[in-house]
Amino acid sequence: MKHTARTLAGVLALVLVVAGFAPAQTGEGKVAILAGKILTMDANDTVHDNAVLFLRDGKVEKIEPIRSAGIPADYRVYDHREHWIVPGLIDPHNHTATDVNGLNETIALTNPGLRAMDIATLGSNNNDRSLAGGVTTCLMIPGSATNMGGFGVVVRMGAKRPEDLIMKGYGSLKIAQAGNPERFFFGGNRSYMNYNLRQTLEKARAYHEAWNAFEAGRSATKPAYDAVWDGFRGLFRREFPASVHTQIYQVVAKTISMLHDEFGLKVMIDHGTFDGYKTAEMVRDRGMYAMIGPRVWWMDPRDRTINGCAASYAKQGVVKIGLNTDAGVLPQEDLPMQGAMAVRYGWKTYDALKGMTYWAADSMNLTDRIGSIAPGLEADVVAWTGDPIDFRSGVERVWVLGQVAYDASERRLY
Amino acid sequence: MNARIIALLLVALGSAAWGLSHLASPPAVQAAELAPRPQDEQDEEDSARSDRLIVVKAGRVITVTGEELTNASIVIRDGKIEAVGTNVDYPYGSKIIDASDLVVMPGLINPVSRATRLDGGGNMTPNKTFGDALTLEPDDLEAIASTGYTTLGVVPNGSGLPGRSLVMRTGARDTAGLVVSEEGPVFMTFNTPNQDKGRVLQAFKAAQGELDKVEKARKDFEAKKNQKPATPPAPAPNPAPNPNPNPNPNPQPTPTPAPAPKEDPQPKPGPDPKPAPAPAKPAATDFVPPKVNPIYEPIIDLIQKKPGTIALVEFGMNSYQFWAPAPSASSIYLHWKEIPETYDFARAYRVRNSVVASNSPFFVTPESDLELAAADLGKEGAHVAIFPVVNHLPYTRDKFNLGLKLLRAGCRVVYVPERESWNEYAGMREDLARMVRAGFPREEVLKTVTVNAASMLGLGERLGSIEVGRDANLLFLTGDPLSFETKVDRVMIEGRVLDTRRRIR
Amino acid sequence: MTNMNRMPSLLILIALALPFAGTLVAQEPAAKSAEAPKDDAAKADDAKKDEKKDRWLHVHNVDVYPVVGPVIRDGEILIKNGVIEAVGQELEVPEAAETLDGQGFRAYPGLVALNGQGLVPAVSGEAAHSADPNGLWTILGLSGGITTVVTGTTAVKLQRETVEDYVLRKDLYMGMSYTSSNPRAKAQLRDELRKVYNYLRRKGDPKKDDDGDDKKDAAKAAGARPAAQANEDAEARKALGSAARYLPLMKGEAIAVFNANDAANIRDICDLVETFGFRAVVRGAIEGWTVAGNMGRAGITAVVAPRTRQDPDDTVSTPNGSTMANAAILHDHGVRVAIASLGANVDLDGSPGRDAVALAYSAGAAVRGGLAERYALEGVTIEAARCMGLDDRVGSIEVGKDADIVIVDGELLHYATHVQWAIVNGRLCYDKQSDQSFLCNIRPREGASADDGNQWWPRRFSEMPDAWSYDPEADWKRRNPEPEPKAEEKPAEKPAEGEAKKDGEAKPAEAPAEAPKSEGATPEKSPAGGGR
Repeated sequence: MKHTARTLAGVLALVLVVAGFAPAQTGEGKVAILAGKILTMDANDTVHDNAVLFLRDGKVEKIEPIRSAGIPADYRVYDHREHWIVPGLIDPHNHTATDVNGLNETIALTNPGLRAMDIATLGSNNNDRSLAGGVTTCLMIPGSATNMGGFGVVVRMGAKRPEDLIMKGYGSLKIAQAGNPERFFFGGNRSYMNYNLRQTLEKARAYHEAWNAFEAGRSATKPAYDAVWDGFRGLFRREFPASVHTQIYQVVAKTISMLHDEFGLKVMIDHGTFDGYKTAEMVRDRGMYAMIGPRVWWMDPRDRTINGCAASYAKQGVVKIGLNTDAGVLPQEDLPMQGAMAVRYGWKTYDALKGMTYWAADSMNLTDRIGSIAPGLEADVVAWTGDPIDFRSGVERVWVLGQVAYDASERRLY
Repeated sequence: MNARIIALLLVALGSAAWGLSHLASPPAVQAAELAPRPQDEQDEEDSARSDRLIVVKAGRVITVTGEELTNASIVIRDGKIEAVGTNVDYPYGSKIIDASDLVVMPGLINPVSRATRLDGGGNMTPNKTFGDALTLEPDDLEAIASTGYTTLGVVPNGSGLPGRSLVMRTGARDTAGLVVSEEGPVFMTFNTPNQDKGRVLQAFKAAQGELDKVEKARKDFEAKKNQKPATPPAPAPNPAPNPNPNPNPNPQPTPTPAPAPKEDPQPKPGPDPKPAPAPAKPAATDFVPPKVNPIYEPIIDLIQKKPGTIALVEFGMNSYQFWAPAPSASSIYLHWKEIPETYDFARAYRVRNSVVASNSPFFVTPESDLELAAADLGKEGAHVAIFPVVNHLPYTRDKFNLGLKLLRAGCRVVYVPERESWNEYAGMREDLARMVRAGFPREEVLKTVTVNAASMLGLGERLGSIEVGRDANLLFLTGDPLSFETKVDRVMIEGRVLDTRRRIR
Repeated sequence: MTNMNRMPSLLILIALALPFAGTLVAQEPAAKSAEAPKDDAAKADDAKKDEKKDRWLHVHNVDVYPVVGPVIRDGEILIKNGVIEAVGQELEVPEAAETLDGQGFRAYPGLVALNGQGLVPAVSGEAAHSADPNGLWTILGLSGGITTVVTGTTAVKLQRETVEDYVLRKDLYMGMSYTSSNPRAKAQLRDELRKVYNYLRRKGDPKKDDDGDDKKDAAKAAGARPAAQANEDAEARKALGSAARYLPLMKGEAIAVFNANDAANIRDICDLVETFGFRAVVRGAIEGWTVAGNMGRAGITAVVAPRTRQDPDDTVSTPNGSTMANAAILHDHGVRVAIASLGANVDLDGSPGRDAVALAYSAGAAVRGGLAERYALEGVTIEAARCMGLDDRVGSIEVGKDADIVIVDGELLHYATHVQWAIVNGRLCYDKQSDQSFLCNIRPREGASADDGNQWWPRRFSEMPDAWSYDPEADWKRRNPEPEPKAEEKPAEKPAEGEAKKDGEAKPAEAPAEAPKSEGATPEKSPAGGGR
C-alpha cells in the first residue's frame, strides 16, 4: 500500500464525487461478497470456507460455495477471498450516543422515565471509528450515576437514515446497583439504593399488572396511561433486558436475587468484574448474561494470580458471556481488543467472538435481526483481514444494511 | 446490633477471666522470704538514707535472659543490680520495696524513637551528637515512662547520615541526667537508595581514606625508625594487623586499643586519634598519628569495629505512594548489601512495615516484601526493628508474621511502636500479645523490647535484663506483661522510682 | 554504520588493552626471578578462578528469531557473563553452563520500551542506585517481554534479584523543541546551531580527523585525548557560549529528540535537520504520515504509537489527524520507525492492552495499519534501540550483544502469546510458571507445546486447535493435586499446520484461493466453539 498525501486526498475527492453524484450502481441493494471464510456465528457455529455471501435489500440472502455459486450480473461483487467475513460486533454497554455526560442525568436517584432513544444522534466521529473497529451495533445506555438512569437504545452505528439509526427504542433499562450512585447527592449506600430500586420497580410492576388485568379482561377499569411507567411493560414481558451496572461478588449476588429472582427480569450483568465471577454458578443456573468489561482481569489476592473475568465465568459453565467497552472509558473500536485480552487471560477465541456477536444480540432479543449471518437477517457484516480480535487484523470493509459503510482503502481510521 | 454487644461483652469477660487466672497465682503463695523483717525500712518514698541500697521483693521476676523467678529479691546498689535470686542476702537498713503481688521485668526500650525532634546537621554529619538538643516536656516524659518505657534511642531527623542517636532515660532528676549516651548508633537513612546509597558509600570511602592516611603515616614512621637503629623496635602490637593497604579492611582484627574505661574521662574525643595506642605521654620516639577528619570518626569506629558502635539503617518510606513506584524493601536491601560486603561493621536495621491499605487488586505492601531478604538478614544475625503488626505477603491479602519470619531466619527482632504517641507506647504490650497470637514465640517476644533493643543500641551490657551488673531499670506490673488487664504499677530507672502515679492511676 | 559509531568501541578496546599491556611489561623482569614459577601458578589459579566465576547460560531447543537475520529453527544460544557468545545449532557448550530448555518455543530479543516512564519512574539521583528488582513493575514489564526501558534520558534494564548492570546508558539524547508556537526559541535554536555549524567548519571537520590512521587515534586515546578534549571544550565554550551545548550534536555524538505530532511542526523539524544534518528522532509523529517524504529525506527516525487517536480537523483542508497506517506510510517513505506503547502507565486495574506493558500490541496495531510484520517487530526491538543509540548493546540476538532474550510461546505479536521466560543480562529473570509471575494459572506451560503458537493464525477455523484453550478441569487438578498420580488429560493437540502463519512476513498470508476450490459451504463446527 503506497500512500501519499496527495493520492489519498485524490481518492477521497473521487469517492466523494462518486457518492454524491453518480447514480446507483447496477443492481442497487444486491451485493455478492467473495469470502475466504465466513463465520456465521449462528447457533450451530457454522463456518463456511471459500463461499459467497449474497446480500439483497439490506438482508442476507444466502451463502453459497464459491465454485458452484452463480453470481447474477446485477450483483455488485466484492472480492474478499483472503479475508474473513464476520457479523458486525455488538457493544452492549456504550455511553457515546451524544457524549458521555449526555446520558448521565442525575435528576433523581431513580429516573424511570428517561429514554436514551430521544437523544440518539446520527453520524459522528464515534460512528465512523466504531465501524473501523468492526462494531456495527451499540446499546447506548445512560450512565451509572443514579440507581436507574433510564432506558437504553440499540443504535446501528453505520446508519445513513434516521429510521435505520434506532434498531430498538427500548433497548434495555439501565440500573446501577452500587459502585457509582453512591456519589449522588444524598450519598445513599447499598441497602438504601436497593430499597429505592425496589420501590421504583414495584410501582412499575403495579402499573404493568393493572394493564395486564385490564387487557385480559380481569379488570373493567382502564388504567391511566403514564409515560413514565409504560416503557416498563416490555421489561416485565422480558422483551428487553435490564443492563445492570453490577460488579463485586456481593453486588452481583444481589442483582441476581433481586432483579432476576424477585422481579423476574431479563438481566444482563454489565461489568460483572472484580470478583463478580464468584457468582458464576448462580449466573449459569439462571441462564443469565454476563457482559464483561471494561476491566478484563481481576487479581485474586488470595493466590496471587491474575484471573480473566470472562474466562472465570466460562470456567464454571456460564455460556452467555459477552464483552463491552463501556465506551467513553475505552473507545468502542477497541471492542475486539477486549476480546483479545479476554482470551489472553484464559478464554477462547471463538467464544470471545461469539460473545461479541451472537450472545450480545441474544441478550437484547435481536438474534432474529443481527448477531449472526443467516438468510433473512440484516446484513451488517464486516470483512476482516483475519482473526478479528488479533491486533494485527484490520477491518477492510463494512456493510451496514447491505451498503458499504466503511472502506479502509479510502482511509484507515483504525 | 445486640448480638455484637453481647459478643463484645463475652470477649471482655473472657479476657478478664483469663487475666484474673493469671493474676491469681503470685500473691496466693507468699513465701516467708517476702515477709518484711522488722528492721527494714517500710517507707519507700522519702527515705534519703536508704537511697543507695534498695531491695525489691517481687512476686515474680521476669529476668528475660534467664529463668523466671517467683518470690525473688532484687538487690540494687547505686542504681545497679547487685544481686537477684530467691535466697539473696541484703544488709539491714536497705530500703524495701514490697512488690510481692507484682510482676517485675526490665524496663522497655525503644531504640528507634523520634519522641523528641533532633534536627540533623545535614546529609553528611555522622558525628553530630544531640546531648544539648534534648527538649522534652516533663509531662511528655512522664507519659512515656508511665507506659513502661525506660530507655529511648532517639534518632535524628534528616536523610543520609544526619548524626548519632541519642540514648536517653525517660526519667531523671534534671534534664542533663536524662542522657545515657550521646554516642548512640550512627543513624543512616536508606529509604531511597538513589539518594542515600551514594552518601553512605561516600562516608565509608572517606573514612577508609582517613584510615589509610593514618596507616601510611605509620608506615612512613616505621620506615624512618627502622633506619635509625637507636630506637627500639617498638613492640606496638597495633600497627601490624594491616598488611594490605586499602581495598579490603574486613579481616582487620583491630584489637581496639583502649576499650571501655576511656569513655568517661574524655568528654569529647575531638582531636583524639583513633588508632593511637597510648596518647597519654607522647614521647618523641612514639608515633603520633595525623589528625583525622572528625566528621568520619564514627564511621572509622564502625570500620574498626569499636565495641558499642553500631550503624542504624532505616529502610522504607513514611508512606507508600501507589502511583509513584519506589523500590520495595527487599530491593533496597539488595542495594544496601553491597556496602557491608565492602566494609564489614556492626549494623542494625529499622524497617517501616506498616500495613498499607489499597483498593487495587494488587495489594501492594512493599515493605513487607523484606521477607525476601530475611535469609540474608538472618545470616548477619541482624537486629531488625519492625512494627508489631501482621503484614501481608507482597501483592496479596494473605497475612503473615514478618517478625516471626525474621526470627526464624536468625535475626534479632526488635518491636517498636508504630507512632510516637502515648497510646502507641501504652498499647505495645497488647501488640506484643497479638504477635504471640500470630505465632511469635512467647518466650522471645519480651526480648524484642528489652535485651534485643538494648543490644541494638550497643548497650547490651548495661540494659535490657535483670542480671547482676545491669542498670536497675525495672518495670512493675500488676500481672503478666502480655495480659490485656495488666497495668503498669510503677517504673524504676536506675534505682529511682519515678513519680508516675498520676498517670498510672 | 558511521565512523562515529565505531569510535567509542575502539576507544574502549584500547583503554582495556593498555593497562593489561602495562602489567605485562611490569612483570617481565619478575619472570626472571626465582619466584617466577610460583607466580605463573598463581596466575593459572587466578585464570581458573575467573573461568569458574564465568556465568554461562545455554538456551537450547528454541526457534531463534534474531530480528536482524533469518530464523534459526531448533536453535541454541550460548551466553557468557551476560553477553551472547554464540547463536546457532549444535554449539560447543562448557560443562559449567546452566541450561534452559526452551521447549521448542521462540526466542526473541527483549523489547525496548521507549515510553516507559510508568515502568520505571524518571530517575532522580544516582541512576544505578534506583533499581527496584523486586518491584511489581519489574515483574509486569518482563511479563510483557520488555527488558530495556528508556525513562527520561536514561536506559535501564528490568532485572530481578540483582541491582548489578542496571543502567544500560545515561544521557541518551538531548530533548529539543522547534515549534512555531514559540518563535523566539525556534529562532534561537536555529541561530545557535548555525553558530556551531560555522565554528566546526572553520575548525575543520572533526569527522575527518577520525578517518586518519588508527595509530594516531590510538595515541590520542591513550592519554592525550582527555586533555586535548578538555582544551577543545574550553575553547569551544569560549567561542560559542551557550551554543556549545550543541557541539556534540553537530559532531554526530548525540541524538536530538523532538516531541512533535503536528504536521507543520514536523515539517519544520525536517527542514532544520536537513539543513544541519544531525541525528534526530521525532517522538509522537501522529501526523507524520502527511509529511512522510520530508521525514524520509531528513533521515529522521519516528517513534510512533500506532493506536494513538486524534480525530481529523475538518476545518483544515489538508489531510490531518491520526491513522493506523501511520507507521506503514512512514516506512514506505524510508523513515525508520520505532514503535512505542500507547500509554506510559502500567495497568494494575484489570484493563490491559493499552498500557506500557502492552508494547507488543502496539506493534501489532502497526501491522493492522499495513506495516509488514517484520518491520513491526524491528520497531519494538532493533529500531527502538537504534533510535536511542543502544543498538550496539540490545535490540537483537547477535553475538556480542547483551543477552536480553524473551522466550515466548507463540508469535510475539499475537494476543494469546505469553512470555515464558525472560533472560536479562544473561540471568533468568522471569519464569511464567514461578510464583512471582501472577500468570502461572493461565494456560500453564505444562501441556502446551511450541506448535500451538503457530496455530494461532488459523486459515480455517476448523483447524483451530483446542490445546491453548483454558481447561478448567486440568487447571483445577493442577492446583489441587490429588495423591494418586494425576491422570494426564492434555487437551487434544494437533501438529502444526504447514499453512500456519510463519514469522516475519507481511500479514495477508498466501495468495487467495485462486480458483474457488472448496466443495462449498462446509458447515464445520469449531472445536473451540463447542467444548467447555
